[in-house]
Amino acid sequence: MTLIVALATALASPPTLADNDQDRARAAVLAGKVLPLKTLLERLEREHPGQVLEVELEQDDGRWIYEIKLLQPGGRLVKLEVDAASGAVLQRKERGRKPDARP
Amino acid sequence: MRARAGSLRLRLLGATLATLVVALVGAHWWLTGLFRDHVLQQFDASLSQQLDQLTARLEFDAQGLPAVGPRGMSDPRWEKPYSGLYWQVQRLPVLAGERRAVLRSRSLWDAELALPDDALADGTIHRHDITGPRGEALRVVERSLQAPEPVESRWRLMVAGDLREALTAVDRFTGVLGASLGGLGVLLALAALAQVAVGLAPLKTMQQGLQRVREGRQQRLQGRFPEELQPLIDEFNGVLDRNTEVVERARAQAGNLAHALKTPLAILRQAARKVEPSEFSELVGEQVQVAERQMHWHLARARAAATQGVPGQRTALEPVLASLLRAMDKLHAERHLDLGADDVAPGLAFAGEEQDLQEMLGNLLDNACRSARSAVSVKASRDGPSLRIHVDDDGPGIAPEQRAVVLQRGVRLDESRDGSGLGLAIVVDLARLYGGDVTLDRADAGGLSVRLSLPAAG
Repeated sequence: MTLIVALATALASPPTLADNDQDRARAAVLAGKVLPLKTLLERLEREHPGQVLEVELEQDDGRWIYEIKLLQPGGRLVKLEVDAASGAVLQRKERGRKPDARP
Repeated sequence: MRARAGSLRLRLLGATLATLVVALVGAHWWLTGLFRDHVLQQFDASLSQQLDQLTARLEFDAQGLPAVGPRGMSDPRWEKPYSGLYWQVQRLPVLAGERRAVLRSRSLWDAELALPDDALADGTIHRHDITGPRGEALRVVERSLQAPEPVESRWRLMVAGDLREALTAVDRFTGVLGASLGGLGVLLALAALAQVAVGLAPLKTMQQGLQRVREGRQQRLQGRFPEELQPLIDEFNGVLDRNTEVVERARAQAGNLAHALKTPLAILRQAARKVEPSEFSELVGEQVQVAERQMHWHLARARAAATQGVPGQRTALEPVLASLLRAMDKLHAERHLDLGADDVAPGLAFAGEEQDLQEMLGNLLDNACRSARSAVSVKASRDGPSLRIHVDDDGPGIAPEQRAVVLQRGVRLDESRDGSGLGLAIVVDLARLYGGDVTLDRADAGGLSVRLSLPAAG
C-alpha cells in the first residue's frame, strides 16, 4: 500500500521531497554551483529578450545546465541551453516557425 | 478696506472653485480607495481559495512530514519558475537544523518566501506583504495546520501572489479617474464662470444705468432688475426723486420770492417817478434799481446753486438757442442785425437747467446785439466733457486790459446805455457754478468774442 502511494507520488507532477526540481535548484544555488535564476534571467534579458515560458535545470556529466524556453517578440519560440554556473549560452534552438518541427 | 472688499466675481469664483477642488480631490481619493480595496479583496479571495486547495491536498506521512497529494495542485503557475504564484509549507516553529521551507511550489525555484514570525491561531487566515524572488511585491495569505495523529506537529501553509497586475489596474484606474475628474473640474469651473457672469450681469446693467443718470440722459434708473436688486434700485430712484423734489421746491420758493418782491419794488419805482424830481426821489429810484439788480442776480444764483450737481439734467442747446435768436431778432428789429448760428454742431446738450442756459445765452446775445454794428454770430462745439459756445459781434470790442474789469459784477463800460450791468457777471457766476467759465477775446469780425464753456451732457 505504501509502495503504491509512493509510486503515485513519484509520478505526480511535483515530486514531493528533495528530488524535485525546485529543491535541487535551491540546493545547487546554496552550494554555489549554480547562478540564482534571478541573476541568470536578468543577464539573458539583454541578449535574448522574451517571455520565459519554461525553465528546467539538468545535470549533464556533472555540469549544471538551464534549459529555458522563451517566447520572443514576433511569436518566435526559442529554446536556450545555458551554462548554469557561468550564464553562458551554450545552444540556441528556434522552434515553432516550421510546422513540421513541432515535437 | 478696499483690498479686503475685492471683487464680487473673484469672491464667488473663489468660493466655488475651492469647493470644487475639495469635492473632486475628495471624490478621487474616496473612489480610488474604494477601487483599491475592491481589487485587493478580490485578490485576497483568490489567494484564499488557492490556500484552501493547498490545505486540502496536503497529506502527512508516518513521520508527520507533509506532502502534496497525488492530485497535485491545479494551476500552471505553480510549475513555472518565478510565475508570480507560489506556495510554501514550513514547520511551526522551525526546528533547529531543518530547512525553513520543507515544501515549496516549483515556481519558487531557488527562492523561499521569507515571512515574518506570526502567532497563528488554528484556522484563521493572516495576510502579509513581502518582497518576492524577483523583487516583486507579494501578497501572502497563510494559515496554520495541525498534523493528524500520531505525530504532533504544526505547519504553516502559505500562498503568495504577485500584486503587480492588481496594482497596475489600480494605477490605471487612478489615472483614468484623475483625468476624468480633472476634465469634469474644468467643465464645472467653466460653468461656474458662466454662472457668475450671468449672475452679475444685472450689476453691470445697473452701473450703465447710473452712468446714464450721471450723464443726464435719464432722470431715474430704468429697466427690470432681479428681485434681489430691485429694492436697491427702488431706493436709489427714491433718493433721485427726493433730490428732484427738493430742487423743485427751492426753485419754487425763489420764484415766489421774486414775484413777491417785484410788485412792491415796481410800485416804489413808479411812486418815485411821479413825485417832483428831488434828491429823495432819485435816491429811491437808484436804490430800487440796485435792489432789483441784486434780487435778479441772487435769484439766478440761488437757482443755479440749487440745481448744481443734481444728476440727470440735460438741456438740448439747439431749441434754446433758436428761441433766443427769434426773441433777439424781435427785440432788436429796428437795427436789422444779421443773427447767425450756422456753426453750431448738431445734438449738443448742456448738463444743467434750461432756465440757466437761457439766462446765460440770453445775456450774452443781448449784450452782443447791443454792441454789434451789423452782425452777431454764435458758434458751438463739444470739446471732451465741455460744451463751448462763442458769441461774436462786429462792434467796437473791448481793449485787452479792460476785459478783466468787465467780468466783475456791476461794471458797465458804457454808462449811457440802460441795463443792469449785471448781465455778464451773472453769466460768469452761473457758468462757474456749473464748473465752467467765461473768457473774452477779439472776434474775427473785429468786435468782442465771448467764450462760454459749460459741462456737456452725453
